[in-house]
Amino acid sequence: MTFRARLLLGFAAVVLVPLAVLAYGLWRDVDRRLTAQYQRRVDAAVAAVERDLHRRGAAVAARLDALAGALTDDNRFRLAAVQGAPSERTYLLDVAGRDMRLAGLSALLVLDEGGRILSSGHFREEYDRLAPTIPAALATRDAGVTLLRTRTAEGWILVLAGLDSLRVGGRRFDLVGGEAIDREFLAGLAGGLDVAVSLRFPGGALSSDPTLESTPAGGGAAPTDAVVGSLTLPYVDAGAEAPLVSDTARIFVTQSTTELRALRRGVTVWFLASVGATAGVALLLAGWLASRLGRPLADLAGKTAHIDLDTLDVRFETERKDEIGVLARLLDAMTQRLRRSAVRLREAERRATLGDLARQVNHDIKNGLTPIRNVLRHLAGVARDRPDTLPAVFAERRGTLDSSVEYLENLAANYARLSMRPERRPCDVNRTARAVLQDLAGAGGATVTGDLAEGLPPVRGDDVALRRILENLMRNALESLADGRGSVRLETRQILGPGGAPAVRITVTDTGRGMTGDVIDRIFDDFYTTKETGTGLGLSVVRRLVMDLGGTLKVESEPGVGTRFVMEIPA
Amino acid sequence: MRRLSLVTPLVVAALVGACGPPVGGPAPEPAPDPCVLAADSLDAPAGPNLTLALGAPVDPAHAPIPVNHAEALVFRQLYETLVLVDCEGAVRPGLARSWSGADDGRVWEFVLRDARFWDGRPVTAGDVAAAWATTPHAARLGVAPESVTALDDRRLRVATDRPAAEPYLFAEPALAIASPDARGSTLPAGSGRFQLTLTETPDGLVRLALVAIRGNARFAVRTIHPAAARDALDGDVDLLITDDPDAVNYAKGRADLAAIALPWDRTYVLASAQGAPITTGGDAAAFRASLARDAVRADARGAPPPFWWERLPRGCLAAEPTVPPPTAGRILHERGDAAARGLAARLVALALLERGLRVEALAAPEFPAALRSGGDHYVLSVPRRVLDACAAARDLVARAPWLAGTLESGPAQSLTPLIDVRRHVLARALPAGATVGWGGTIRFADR
Repeated sequence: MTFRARLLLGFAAVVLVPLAVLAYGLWRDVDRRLTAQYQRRVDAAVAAVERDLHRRGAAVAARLDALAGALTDDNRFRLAAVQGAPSERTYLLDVAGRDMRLAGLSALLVLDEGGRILSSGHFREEYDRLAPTIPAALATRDAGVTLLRTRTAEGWILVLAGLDSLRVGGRRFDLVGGEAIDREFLAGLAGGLDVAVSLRFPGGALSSDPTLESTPAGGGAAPTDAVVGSLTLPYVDAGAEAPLVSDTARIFVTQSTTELRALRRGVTVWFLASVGATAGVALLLAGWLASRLGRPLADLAGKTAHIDLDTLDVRFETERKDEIGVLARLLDAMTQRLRRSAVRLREAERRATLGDLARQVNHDIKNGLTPIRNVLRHLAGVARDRPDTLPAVFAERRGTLDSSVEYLENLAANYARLSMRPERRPCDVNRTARAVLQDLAGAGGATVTGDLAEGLPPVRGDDVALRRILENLMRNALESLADGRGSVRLETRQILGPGGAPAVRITVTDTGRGMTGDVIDRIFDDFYTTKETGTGLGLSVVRRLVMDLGGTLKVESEPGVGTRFVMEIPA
Repeated sequence: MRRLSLVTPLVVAALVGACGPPVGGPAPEPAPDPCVLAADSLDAPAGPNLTLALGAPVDPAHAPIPVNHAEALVFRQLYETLVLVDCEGAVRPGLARSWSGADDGRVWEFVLRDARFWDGRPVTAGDVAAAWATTPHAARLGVAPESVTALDDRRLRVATDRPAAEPYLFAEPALAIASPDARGSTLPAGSGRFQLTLTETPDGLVRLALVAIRGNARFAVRTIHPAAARDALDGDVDLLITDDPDAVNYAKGRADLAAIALPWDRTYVLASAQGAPITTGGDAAAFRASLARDAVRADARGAPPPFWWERLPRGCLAAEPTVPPPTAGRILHERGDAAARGLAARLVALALLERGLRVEALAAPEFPAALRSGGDHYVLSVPRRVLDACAAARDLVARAPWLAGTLESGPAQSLTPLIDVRRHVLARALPAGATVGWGGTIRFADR
């Protein structure tokens, strides 16, 4: 897992989890408290509705009492109801309607003691119908309010009913009247409260909110989004053959939890929004932090990757005061120590090499001098023993002398090459390359080509050293060609060196025999050669000269395919 | 067409009673007529400018054929029919002063009185024939143009395609005489005692007035709400037509007002595709009387037989009988018709039709559409007396096509008669020498 991913997960754990816990706690607490508050409100509304019902029931009773008194004193009613006067028949039929309107009632029945309807205010045409069960059922109810379902021409109405009676001419008459219960009535019970009042009675339902008439407060399925309270009322169905004393109706007070649900939705939305915003901020912050922390580390890693014994000029300069700065300074110090160690190591190597060289020179000189000494000893013996043959013997042994002297001269020349110290000044790589290519233009049957990039920056070094480098590499390449046939290619390019500094890449590619890995590991050792007449110093000198120029030298080779030497020299 | 039975003239004669004129005889003097109210019986001094109040609007464009009872009263003053029918069903002289029948009442010969159109032209028998030739209603009523013959200027012979004991047909407002040669009037010229004037007020309203052709009597025509009759009487209205029983009782209780009844002109029936759904225990007359007495607040009586729809000649209905859908459990009536509502409610209260019925009032155009469907029970009014039963039956079937089958198969089980109702004329003052009666016609003694 990347450092950035770990950082993001850390942020999530630290920020989002507490935020989720906080939101859930708030959501649950708000829900519980508001639900309890709604329930208290509904309970209060139920109590208010019950008080209002009793108040209205008392008002109905008072109106019926007043109407009973008025009818008792009404002579036309007496004539019609007691004496049966035909002239007052219409008056009797109309009196309930008139009194009902005067009393502000919605229903009124005047019945005789036999339960016959003498006059009906809400259904004038039902006169003479026998309905003894209505006053009987109402009389069985306790004092208070009773719901009565009574008929009209257009259907049925529910009334908050009361019962009263009067005596005229020795006969008893019952008054049954009430106030209509409709949606407006139920809405009036709710008053200014933000609740719905519903009535459920056998076979029907009514509500101040018509949408609730299909709910259990109205008769259907239970609402899941409401708080409900209820109370029970006595109920009489005037249409039933024998109204049941046990019939009841229930009034439900329903508080919609729409507001609560809206609050829940709001909390959820805001929680999700905060989570989203937090996640976004966390991502940005984590990215920024990862960038702040990771990029210097990546830079350090990149620089560190370039460090080897030949490339120890990498600097880890920084002004940071944090752990990254400490690490960079430690790496810089370590690199400096490495540089110093490398110098010492190189010096030790040089010294070791000088010791080896001295021993080698001693050995080589001895090897060169030994034939000369032997020839001279032989010539001295001839001159002493057979002076006459001395010219002939000298002529015979002169070749040995010449060969040994030539060997020593070559040896001297080679050792002279090892001691050269190039001077560093701006050098035109392409000019040197062109000169080398020109010298080698007629090299046997090989094809020598050059691909020189224009506009190369000058490198700091020595023209002679640079020429020796190119000549050695090109001659080695030509000598690697089997039977002198094949191609050798010299290529120059401008590149960016370590730290983005300009540099020049020189590539010498041949199609020669190639080398194995073991050979490649040793080709830069002094005096190592695979050629019969080689000194084993060419590539060693090349490597040293390249290092003196501050450059790098790499070799890639495959047996039977060819070899490519790549030098990168800083400008 | 089925011939009328011998019972028909007897029944009609019984209805006409003693006050009816002998067939073919001259009209009697109207003075003692209980169907006529005379100006000299009123206390109020007669002035030239009087006010007539009506419970429905009057559109002069309908002249001479009225579409409501208010237009019928107004147009009756403008256009005359050959005869009139009084409150007791007797045929009275109109444009014709005498008449005689032949061929079982299929042929009638009338002698016109000396009448003149508004512009002074005398009304001739040729004018009558010309008027009927131009109205489609004449042919609908069985008065074909080729069957009308002007014997001379005063004598007219009319042959109809149906027998009749009395020439009731010729009291039909659709056969009122109107001349298209109006000569300066916006309305067809009539021979009535009044002419209708239209005056536009500055506020854009059109005032109607009945102006007497002779003399200076003038009735301003005013439309009032039917329930405001008593308020109108307490105001400046001199003559009023109403069916409000409270207004009639109010007028009868005041010495300065007089009231006379107009003929029983409407019968309320229960129309039901279910056949005769009411079971009254056999005493239908008593049941109808109880309805008239208690169920409605109107001047009503239990509708007595016979009923015109029960005596339709065979073949007069060409409509195919239709099968209505099942009943919808409602008794429908036209909104605003209090008598119909009371009757429907009483039927529901008695549960004589079926349990669970309910009353429902529908306004136009819902009620006509519902009546056309036949899926409910209906309480509606039909004319008490029709001058042509076939024409009336066709009108009824046009409203309720599902009645076609039962009306012709008779007795019509789909129509159950309930009550008759009538309107009243309430008067405070009339022009000097004038009378009102015989369907609300205002007449002057000198004519």
